[in-house]
Amino acid sequence: MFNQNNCRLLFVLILISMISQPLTAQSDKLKKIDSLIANAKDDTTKIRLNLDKLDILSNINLDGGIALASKELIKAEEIHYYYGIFLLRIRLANNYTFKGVYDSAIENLKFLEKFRKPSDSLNLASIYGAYGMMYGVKAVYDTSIMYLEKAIPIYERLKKTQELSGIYINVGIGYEQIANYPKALEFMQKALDLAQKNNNKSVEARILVNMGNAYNDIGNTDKAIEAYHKSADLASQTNGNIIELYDYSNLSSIYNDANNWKVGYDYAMKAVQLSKQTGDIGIEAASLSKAALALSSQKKYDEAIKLSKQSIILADSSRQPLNIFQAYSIMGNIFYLQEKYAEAIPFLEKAFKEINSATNYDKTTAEFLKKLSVCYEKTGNYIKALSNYKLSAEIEDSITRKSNIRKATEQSMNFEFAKKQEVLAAEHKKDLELQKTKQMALTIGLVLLFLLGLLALIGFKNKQKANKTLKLQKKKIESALAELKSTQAQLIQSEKMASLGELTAGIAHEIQNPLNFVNNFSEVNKEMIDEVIDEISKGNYNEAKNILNDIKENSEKINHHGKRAADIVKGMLQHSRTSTGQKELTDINALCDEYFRLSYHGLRAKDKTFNAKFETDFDTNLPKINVLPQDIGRVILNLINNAFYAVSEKAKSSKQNAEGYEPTVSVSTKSLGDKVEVKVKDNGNGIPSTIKDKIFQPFFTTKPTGSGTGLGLSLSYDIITKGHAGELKVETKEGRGSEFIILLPG
Amino acid sequence: MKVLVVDDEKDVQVLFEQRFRKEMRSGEMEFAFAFSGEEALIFLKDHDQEAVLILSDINMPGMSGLELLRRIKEQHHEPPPVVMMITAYGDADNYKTAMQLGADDFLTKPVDFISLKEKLKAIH
Repeated sequence: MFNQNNCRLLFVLILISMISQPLTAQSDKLKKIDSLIANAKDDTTKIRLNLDKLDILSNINLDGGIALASKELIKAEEIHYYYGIFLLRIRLANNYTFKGVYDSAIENLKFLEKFRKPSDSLNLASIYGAYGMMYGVKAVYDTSIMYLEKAIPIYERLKKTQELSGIYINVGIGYEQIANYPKALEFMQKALDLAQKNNNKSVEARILVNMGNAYNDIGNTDKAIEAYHKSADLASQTNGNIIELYDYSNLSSIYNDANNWKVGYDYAMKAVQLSKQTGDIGIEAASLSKAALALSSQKKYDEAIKLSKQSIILADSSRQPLNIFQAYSIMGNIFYLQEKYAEAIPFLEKAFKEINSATNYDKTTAEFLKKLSVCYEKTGNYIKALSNYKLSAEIEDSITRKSNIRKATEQSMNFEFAKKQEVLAAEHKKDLELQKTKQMALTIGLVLLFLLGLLALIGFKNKQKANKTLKLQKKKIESALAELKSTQAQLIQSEKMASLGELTAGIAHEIQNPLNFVNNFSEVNKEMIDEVIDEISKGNYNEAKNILNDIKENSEKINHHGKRAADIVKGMLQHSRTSTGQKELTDINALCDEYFRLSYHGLRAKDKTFNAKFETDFDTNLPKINVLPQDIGRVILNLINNAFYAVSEKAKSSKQNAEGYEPTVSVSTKSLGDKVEVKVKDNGNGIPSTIKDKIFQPFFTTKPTGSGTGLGLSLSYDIITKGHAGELKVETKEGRGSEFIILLPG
Repeated sequence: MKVLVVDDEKDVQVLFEQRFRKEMRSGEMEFAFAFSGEEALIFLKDHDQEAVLILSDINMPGMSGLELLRRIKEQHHEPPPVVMMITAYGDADNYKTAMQLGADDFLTKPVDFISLKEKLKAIH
């Protein structure tokens, strides 16, 4: 219950010698290497020394590593230094991988594949290792394992134990991620043996925490506890605070899961202490939650509430949905256990809101919803009780289905694992008894072979069963996905229609106004022409001339307002058209002005009491740029509509507070040399920091249900970034207002 | 008779001056113009009781015509000036609100000046 995912350490550099050194020691080393470089005589020595420097530097600063490697690479290529070019490009690929720039990583590795001398198998292994790590970091674990396993025989043949150890760890982690725990444990054990042989305790600690996770995943908690303890012990010997912290946090989860609350509490508090030292507030919040859970299960409610409060504060600032869910749900649980149902509800609801937007439902969610249902039932809200109960039942249903498949898979894996263990034991025994009786060994071997065949057959059958269920599940998921895609397309269309609707009201106003002038000025002209005829016949030529001048001015006005109406109709047509159009040179100022007016009048048409000041500041030297005018117009309209919405919301609340608030929306443009900047600013309530990251996500909206599709900003973001290679940014201060900034390339 | 016309479109001034040129020449009617609700209120404060008739647009940036109407009917009591609304939105909602706030008439754009003149003459 309330078990969070275990803390995991993921992919490591193949050369892991530097990882565990403290920063101070690293900077000392850097200084030392720098002085060696200064004294080095030839270029190859300099490059070799810089490679050492790179290993340390990349650990501290990826960009610095990339810059140094690129610089040295130019030198190495000038003097055709094979070894230098090779290792520098491998380092570049590694650094790009950790930065997430996979294309550049692949580019370097592809180059090396061609560049490698055919006899150079060591470097082939390092290319495989780098590919493997990259796919691992990218979470494409099958491919990662494939590459890494190619490197193993080469390194084994060349007896490169340090590289092997790194590869083994990465393969182990890869298998763990695809839930092949027996294989994961096998490779981690290999890595562990090497680390023990090299007496590298910090690496040992790192491997053991991963082994603990794998044991825990297959339900072998005794082994998991043993591994975590050993890891923590080794980590504390080598100042590995983070690893020790992970160990304690995971130990606490295990003991809590086993209802051994006292021990669970102790480990959780140890983890709290360590996370304070390392400054990891996410784990600190999670550990406090675990401690609070342990206390409340021992009926120590006051202390539990104290810890839970701290956990909530930390979790909120960590902004990790799982942490927030855990913190709030445990506070809710404390009240629940005391049968204070009404007090539990707000915490449980807040917790559910977090997990609702962030993760898949699991067993925890189902149990959690059942509790929420009980709370509503006890407080007399039967409708909510029922709806939560229903949801809980649905989730449980789907979990049972999933867990059946998992069980089947696990069973077959356990068979395989047991099989391997037996083979190992048998080999060991065989060695001992070899001298005694060869005959005996042969018999045992034969029996074992038979047993193996039998086991393999059972394993195979189980796997087949699991595969069949998996295929069925896959089909279901695929059809659900197709349905989801079509719904999404419909929603996008309805967002377009909604913004068209917003426009129509504005357009009505904008057309009636010019029409007013066109109709009336032309009628006046008719009257005036009669007057002219009249005056001429009286011989008053001067007066006739004056009137004719007026007529001329009036027809200019008719022309002007006629054009104005035509432009509006054109804009409307462009807006409703789908955006397959061609980019054309567009005056951004005119576009902003047009949509600003449309937005304002549209809003005014919907809400008669709406009132706001609007300001424009257009850069008159703004160059015309190539854009899709209807798309950019849609973005500007959307941003301005949002701004007006924000100020009107604030105006509503400040009316109640009787403050002097002047709602203001401003639009400005500016030429930034090779870019054009458009800013839409409001003095509304601003965007709370908790949702700032979400505003560009599809379907996210703060408007009441039914009022917004939640697609406006997400479409805008796509139009600017994907359609125009520009940027859409937001700057906001809570309570003060927001500013959306569009940057378009000139 | 003095008429105050309130509209954010500047060309409205030219239009009124031309359509009522005869009435203005004969001194039968006198026009003043304001281009926002705020400006109109300032004018009315400075020229208390001078304008007997106010023609106002509804959709204007800043103070809307309806807000202006509400304030005029609140502040200027004896005798209350006649206020006619002129708007591009002839919808029922707008009409109802204007009438509730005490508007004396409700015209839609494009304005029919012949009927407007008749209405003004009736008040006269």
